[in-house]
Amino acid sequence: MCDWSELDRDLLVLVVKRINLIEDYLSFGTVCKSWHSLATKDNFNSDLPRVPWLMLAEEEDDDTCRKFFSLENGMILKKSIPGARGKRCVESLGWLVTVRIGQNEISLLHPFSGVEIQLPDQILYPLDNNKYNGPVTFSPAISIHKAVLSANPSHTSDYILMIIEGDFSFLSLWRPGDLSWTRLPAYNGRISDVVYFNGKFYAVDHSGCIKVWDVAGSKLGENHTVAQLNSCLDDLYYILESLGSLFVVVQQFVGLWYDRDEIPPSLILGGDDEEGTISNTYRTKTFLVCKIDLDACKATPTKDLGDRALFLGPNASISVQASQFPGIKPNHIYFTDNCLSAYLRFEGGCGLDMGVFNLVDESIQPHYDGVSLSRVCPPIWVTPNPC
Amino acid sequence: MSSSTKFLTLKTCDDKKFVLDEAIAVRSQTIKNMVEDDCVSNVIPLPNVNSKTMTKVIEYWKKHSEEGVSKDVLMDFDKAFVKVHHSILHALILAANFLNDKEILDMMCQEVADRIKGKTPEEIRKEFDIKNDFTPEEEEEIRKENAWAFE
Repeated sequence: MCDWSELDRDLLVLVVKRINLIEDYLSFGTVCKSWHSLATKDNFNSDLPRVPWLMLAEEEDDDTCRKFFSLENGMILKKSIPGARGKRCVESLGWLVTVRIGQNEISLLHPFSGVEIQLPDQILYPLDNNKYNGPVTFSPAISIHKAVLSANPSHTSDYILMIIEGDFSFLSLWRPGDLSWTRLPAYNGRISDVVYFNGKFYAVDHSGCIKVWDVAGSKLGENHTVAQLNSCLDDLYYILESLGSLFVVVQQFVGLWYDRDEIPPSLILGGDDEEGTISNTYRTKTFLVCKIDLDACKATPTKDLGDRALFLGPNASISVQASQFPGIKPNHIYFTDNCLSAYLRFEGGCGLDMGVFNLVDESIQPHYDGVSLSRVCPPIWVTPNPC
Repeated sequence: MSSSTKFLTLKTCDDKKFVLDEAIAVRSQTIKNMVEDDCVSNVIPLPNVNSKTMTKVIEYWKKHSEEGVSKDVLMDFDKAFVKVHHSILHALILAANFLNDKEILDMMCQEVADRIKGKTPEEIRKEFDIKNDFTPEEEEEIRKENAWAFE
């Protein structure tokens, strides 16, 4: 009488489109033959908001597998991602931009489907010849700080990939079909974060200056200043969209002192010291959040993100609606270690500066209990999407 | 009750009749179209819906047509409404589809998705009484295809 495997396919699709978690989607497709035939890439609703997974650092004994930690249910999932092996990864819309240490090989990799798009391996400066002569290759390792996609390459070939690259943190963009990167000229770099918002790229630099680029216009490098925040050289800045508004987040650090007995020497900055008892490393001290009013060109400090939770790190900065996801706390910032310049300085790698920041009482709690360190690619947020 | 209230008679597949205020019955797009096209005679036959299911649907329609019901009360009602055996969920999805009531259909499909949440394939089969028609080899193949391993 009632047979779920025989239910009209159109009706089952209505159910499938409401399945949010990848792990549930895969389970659905393993129930029976008819359900299996529905659990296709096309039927997966990639428009549903999803909480990023924490992609843990590579483990030495595991050839190509990466582990993903789900905040929602505490599960750890394992996936073979040969394309990410030994590479530095930054994330946007579930895609990874990967760079091999010491080489110029760059690609856009989808960690779950394995689809890989080769990207030009050189940055050219066609629009700024006065300053630079000819092609300059990426310097190894810490060459790409962030990547932001304007649209998901799984669904369209009309997208822009914007990266923050090089020692001076310039913005460069690539569109499908481009043979080289286009570095945005007329600006002296030091970009801390960038976001695609209402058809434009908004970036915040290390002096707290917020600028906007209209890349659809004819003059690529044209930009204007939106707002200026107070700046502090050691701070990191993030920019993101939340509920239709732009926000800038300032991350402030502190050098912590440790008992040498409690911390492996390989994690301690500066090597041996004569005293032998304490040494220093770095930790996030606090976050300051400002809401950007684009009309008034003003940044207003706030401690209230409402129901939103932010996910920050070397991923494209995003916010999610906490109440939709059990286990996610509203008005909190989930962050991963983003001190790129420090990664190589620590022999054991980085990844200790992670946690959940409470905007109200400014406390920081761990979100992942384990220790996952890397000099190349410490844990980062990756939005799960099977296709 | 004002004299202008019109009533419709719905007849389910098991020959039970339901007399219902037209203003409520037109929550069904299917019935609404029939009323608008003036092809409503005395009795509207619902060949795909049984009386048990129709009772549930009418219970929902009436609650959501009541005046002065607070949002919280409706939310609690909806929560209780979907807590039914999977066979009733199944019947309600078919009925909502036939009656073209998007609200009930969406709610029921969400409930099915919620019941799948966090379950293994075996637990899902149990929840919905679904027979595993894969051979062990086929099932193993799918697990490999997914290429996921859970710890």
